[in-house]
Amino acid sequence: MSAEDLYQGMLSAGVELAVALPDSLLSPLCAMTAERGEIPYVQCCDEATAIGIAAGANLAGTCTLVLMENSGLRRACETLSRFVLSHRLHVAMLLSHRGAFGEANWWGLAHSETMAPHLEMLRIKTEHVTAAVDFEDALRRAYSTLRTGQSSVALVAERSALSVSR
Amino acid sequence: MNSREFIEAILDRAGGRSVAVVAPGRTGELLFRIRPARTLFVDSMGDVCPLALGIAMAAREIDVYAFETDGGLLMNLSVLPVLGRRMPELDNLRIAIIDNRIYESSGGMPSRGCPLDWEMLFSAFGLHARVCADPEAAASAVTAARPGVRRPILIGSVSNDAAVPAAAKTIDGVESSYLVEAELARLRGIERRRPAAKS
Repeated sequence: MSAEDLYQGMLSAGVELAVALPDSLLSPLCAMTAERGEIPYVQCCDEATAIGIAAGANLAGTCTLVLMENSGLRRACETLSRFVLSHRLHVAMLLSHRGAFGEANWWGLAHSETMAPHLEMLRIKTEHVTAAVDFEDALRRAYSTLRTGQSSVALVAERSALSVSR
Repeated sequence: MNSREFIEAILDRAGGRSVAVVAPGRTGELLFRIRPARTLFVDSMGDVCPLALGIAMAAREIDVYAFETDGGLLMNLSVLPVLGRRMPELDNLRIAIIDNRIYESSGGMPSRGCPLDWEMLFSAFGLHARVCADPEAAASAVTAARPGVRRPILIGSVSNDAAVPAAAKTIDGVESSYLVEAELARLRGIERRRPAAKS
């Protein structure tokens, strides 16, 4: 799956605002989104801030997607906990799966080990995306669940699908 | 100036097409008494400005008032770069920081142990802040804000002699978000979210 495929999926699924903290796996998609200007792109320097902006925009009825590494769940856990569990302020996220099988970086392994418990703890409905053909449909379904107002949603982009070797 | 006087000086100029996002503690309790409707009551520190920014970006036609506290802002200074980038293009976002210099709700310990130059802090990110010591200064700063004039972030330097108001809010975070979501849809003239696809 290339950044172009992901980008086209975002466009087709109706994403109206992208809020991101670029990591090395999603950086090509972030750069493409920022450069093309079809989807307003807001870059943050902390995942909790990204979640806050996205939750506000979503509350106002704008179809918003947070792009961040899975480690951002830990960084934003306090904000997500308050929003998701106590306020019904929900978000949709595209998470790069750092630390999956084949990870070659010692520092990345814990990102994966802590991801699933965080998603489960926060009751975030999750789907793993492994192929380009699945992304747009997965994103549409993610927004269907988001619209229930009952849960935040996460799509986990697998490293094998992100066409990266690092 | 106390917190209520600062908040009222700002909200006195608020129009009907507006929503507010408010921090917990005394600030939230006062807002509930002054403006119970069209206000998103948040129980977390550091999230008011990002939430308000997201609403303001999504709903340009609606004025969004963010009432954050000194402790809340200091907990999430990472919002400053994105505010510095976005605020100049948003004429509907108004940010007020209620600075009582203490963590009042948790017992009154100081919120910092060093000097804090608010105007210099915001200036470092290209933002204009104005410290207000009385309601007239706050009202003047709000009135001065108009298209083409750089809107200041207002810092209310407050002192409160009265005890923190008792918890009187009759809504929780969930109900507050539902109410504000519905109000935003109404103000924007958009269809409300439909939480089910099947009858």
